Amino acid sequence: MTGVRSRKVARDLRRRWGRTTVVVAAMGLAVLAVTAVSTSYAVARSQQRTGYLATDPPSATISARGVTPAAAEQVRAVPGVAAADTSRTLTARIRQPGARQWEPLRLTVRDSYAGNRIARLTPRDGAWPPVDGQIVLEQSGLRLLDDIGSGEHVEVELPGLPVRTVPIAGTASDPGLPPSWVEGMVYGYVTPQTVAGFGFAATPAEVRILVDGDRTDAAHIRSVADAVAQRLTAAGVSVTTVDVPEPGAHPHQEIMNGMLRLELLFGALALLLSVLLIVTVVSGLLAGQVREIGTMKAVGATWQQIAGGYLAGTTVLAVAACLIGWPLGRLAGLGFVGFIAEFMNFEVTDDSMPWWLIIAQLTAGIVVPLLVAAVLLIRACRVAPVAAMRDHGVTAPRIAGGGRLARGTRLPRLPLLGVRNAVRRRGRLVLASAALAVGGAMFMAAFNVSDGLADTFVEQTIAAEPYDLTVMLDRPYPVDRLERAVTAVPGIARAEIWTSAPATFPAGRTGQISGVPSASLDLRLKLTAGRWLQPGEQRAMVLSADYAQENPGATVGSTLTTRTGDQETGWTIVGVAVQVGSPSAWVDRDELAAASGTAGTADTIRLISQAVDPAPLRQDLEKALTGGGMAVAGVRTQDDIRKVLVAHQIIFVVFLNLVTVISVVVGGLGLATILTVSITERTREIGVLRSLGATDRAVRGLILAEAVTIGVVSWLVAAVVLAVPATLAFGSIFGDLLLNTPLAVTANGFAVVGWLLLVCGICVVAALLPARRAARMTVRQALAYE
Amino acid sequence: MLSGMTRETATDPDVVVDVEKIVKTYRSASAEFRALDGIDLQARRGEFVAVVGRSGSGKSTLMNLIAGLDQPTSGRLRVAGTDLEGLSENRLAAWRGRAVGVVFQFFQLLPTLTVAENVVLPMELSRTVGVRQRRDRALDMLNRVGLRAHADKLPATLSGGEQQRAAIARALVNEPPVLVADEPTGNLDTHTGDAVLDLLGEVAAAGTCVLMVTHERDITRWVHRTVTLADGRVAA
Ligand SMILES: Nc1ncnc2c1ncn2[C@@H]1O[C@H](COP(=O)(O)OP(=O)(O)OP(=O)(O)O)[C@@H](O)[C@H]1O
Ligand SMILES: [Mg+2]
Repeated sequence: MTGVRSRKVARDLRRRWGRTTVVVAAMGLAVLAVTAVSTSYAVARSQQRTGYLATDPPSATISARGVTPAAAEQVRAVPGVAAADTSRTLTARIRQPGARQWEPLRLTVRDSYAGNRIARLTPRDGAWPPVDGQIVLEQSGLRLLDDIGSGEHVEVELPGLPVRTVPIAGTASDPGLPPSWVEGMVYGYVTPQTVAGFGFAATPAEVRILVDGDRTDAAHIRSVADAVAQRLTAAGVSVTTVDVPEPGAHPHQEIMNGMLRLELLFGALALLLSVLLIVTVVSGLLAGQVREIGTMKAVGATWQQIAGGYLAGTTVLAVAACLIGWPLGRLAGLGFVGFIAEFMNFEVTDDSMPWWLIIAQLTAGIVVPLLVAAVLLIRACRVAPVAAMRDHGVTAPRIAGGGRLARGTRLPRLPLLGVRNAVRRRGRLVLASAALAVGGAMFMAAFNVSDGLADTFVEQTIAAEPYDLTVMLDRPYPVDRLERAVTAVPGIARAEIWTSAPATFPAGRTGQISGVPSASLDLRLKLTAGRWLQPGEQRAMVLSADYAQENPGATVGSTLTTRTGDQETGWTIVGVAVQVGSPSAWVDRDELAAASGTAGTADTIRLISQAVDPAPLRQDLEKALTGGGMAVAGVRTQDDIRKVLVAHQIIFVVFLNLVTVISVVVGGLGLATILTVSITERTREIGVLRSLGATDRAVRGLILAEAVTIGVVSWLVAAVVLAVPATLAFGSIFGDLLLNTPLAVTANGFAVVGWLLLVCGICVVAALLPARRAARMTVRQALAYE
Repeated sequence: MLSGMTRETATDPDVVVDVEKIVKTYRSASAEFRALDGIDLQARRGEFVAVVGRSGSGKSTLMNLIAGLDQPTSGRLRVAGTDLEGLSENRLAAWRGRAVGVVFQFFQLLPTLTVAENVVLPMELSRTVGVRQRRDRALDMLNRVGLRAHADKLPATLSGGEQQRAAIARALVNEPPVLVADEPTGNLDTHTGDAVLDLLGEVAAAGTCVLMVTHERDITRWVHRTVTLADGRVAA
């Protein structure tokens, strides 16, 4: 392409600078969306892998009683073991000195931190490893303690022991743990001497191993772990469970994977929306050129020559869009990676991307608009020159009843013409409405799913177990002692005594079993299959949907054998229930106690308070328990549980909010373009109207009526046609990820009305500029407008 | 083969527009309308032909077909030595660039190009003139139509007559054997219209075949021949 034509391209773009800007913005947005999604996907995945795997997470954890240093030495000698360490994990409580509220504390007591080979922590500030008499806190927990820092003091309480004030030696980060603010639990690290000073002899109860060879081979790990368990048993250590987690999988891996999958899904939607938007803006750009294309053909231009010019113009715009959209998209993507990193507790040390991904992002940013432009150009060039030069931007009206519409209604005539204009350009109306409707559906679905999450994930979970207070004891105590303590406390509406036991399920899977009192009145778990436990029933078990899904053989009616303590027990599965997190199964409390070798005992009190505020009850109950010689390991109120649940879904909520913003921006830009184009196109028509006596107000009314028509049509399509399936689809994906059951379908009325208002708002704003320009032109200018 | 030879020899090389039994039917959703109903027309090199007739008689339709801007329903068109039947839109465009100049009632200058650039465009598209000579030739052309002083203005700043002259300069710049003009004076006052007709007369005198649709009453001063259309047929 040479001289005059390139000058024409440049001048056309400059002359319609408003439209050119919108086009670049739209293309830039597409590049931004694609770059943001692919960047965060790639970087989050690789950084999580390196961030987590680089710490050498334990291949297996063996829980046992009475692990001696000699036994630990023997473990290291087992073939296949690369490293092993021993520790004791204690449930305790922590708070700032003088604070009212305790936070749960998971206290790790390790004999030697010197090796730091397994699940290595990264020191952040202060001292590492912890020195005797001091504590090191995992950094994500500082937030729960009012951003306390090293050098300051905290109060720590081990169950049944006096409160101790301990200096914070330093902080460290542990990428192997879900962050404290998500779990609602602080993590601390101390030496055995420190807890000995508290009055507690912390003999190791956990052996962690790191295997030689392939650390991603679960079978290999299991065989080494079993050999270790055998060696420990031979050394006189009593092994409770052998836990082999999915190799390389972070504790929140499922949420992470779900998050990434959703990102891809919404990324694909955003891409679709971007393509629609680009089609809209480029076709708008070309619409004004139909007549000129006709003229050029009349003076001898072949379609290659015409296409060459327009494609060059498109390339210029696409490159400009990439220059703006790519860096912003990368920034946005990395911002989201930062958020994922915080949620997953890993650190981003390297935010580079593979070069081919960058090439792919930029190619998409340039190739997609070019393809769109090419397709549209072929169509535009196919119009015979005579027809092209006669183009008035309007195709023949063929709406049934259009005439009746004009005659039968009492609307003022001129706005009605606006409505008709919107309907006349059918292709464009469809395009604009489609882009806007997809945006609207995403908007409404995001709100609905957000509601559904809050409802199903948080509120239904709490409603299923509506206890105001759950008190966990440090170990099982006789049921009658617990009952006595409970009856001594006033203000309790109802109390239930539960128990729990760690268990090994078939295929070596470990999990928690809950022992439910046979007369539990308040538990209302949602069942996906079978029925709930019945009083007097023998060896019946209800499985969690989570477990049932991962083990397809575990169906209602089949038998499942578990190991609790030293005993094996066969249970008949009678039902499957939805549950967030642990436990994996529910059985009768007394049967579970018996199966764990602690018949007649229990370790948990759950109660419903008479008063709204369960705080006084909590203190009284703790006092009564301590007075009865029992130690409290942890207390959780309904509020604590709600906080944890909310924190678990927050990553999705943030993501859905992003989706909302994107839909608004993309939909709004699309609509703005369409309106500007279609109004500019009819400048001449407006001139005619004004020459016939239409006032500025009448012209504005006409333009606004057209804008609002497009808005309302798209809103109808979004609300009536698209929103429900979109909500159902996303709701089922989210539900599967988090609960193994679809989310409750809720319709957020605010979103439906809000989108209508928003769309009308966008319409008015988008129409205002061209309307003002049209009103300002003299009739002569308008009539001469090309 | 034989018939082709016969036709070849039968064709007078001076006949640059040869229209034979042309029919053009417009189809709309409800009806069919025969705008041209078997037109025969021949025009020679250097001939200035006026096409007249009542509004709706099919004049523009005929001009568009001759310029290859639209396709006939049936019949044969041979313009500037090329048989238009079966040519694709694209081949037609390339052919038109060299063979036919088109002048429209509403000028159709490209609004973002200057007058000179509008005239350069056909040379650039058809590559008839070397890159360096194009502007000079455009200025020459503009000089001939009396627009040299307006060369670097945008079309919107020109009067109607000036725009029409610029459009004629653009149509002639590739020296096409045929010039088709649909009411070139329709939007101009009598005085300016006469100037445009003078110009077209000069063009014809220089050897171009000029076909012009007009509503002007007194054109015998300029044209060699008048063809009258009525209801899609050539009136006797
Ligand atoms: N695209 C079209 N579709 C349907 N009918 C058409 C179309 N173009 C022209 N016609 C009809 O064909 C007939 C001839 O039209 P044409 O434009 O050739 O007339 P004309 O002689 O140039 O008239 P005028 O002097 O008013 O310009 C008219 O009756 C017109 O209504
Ligand atoms: Mg006509």
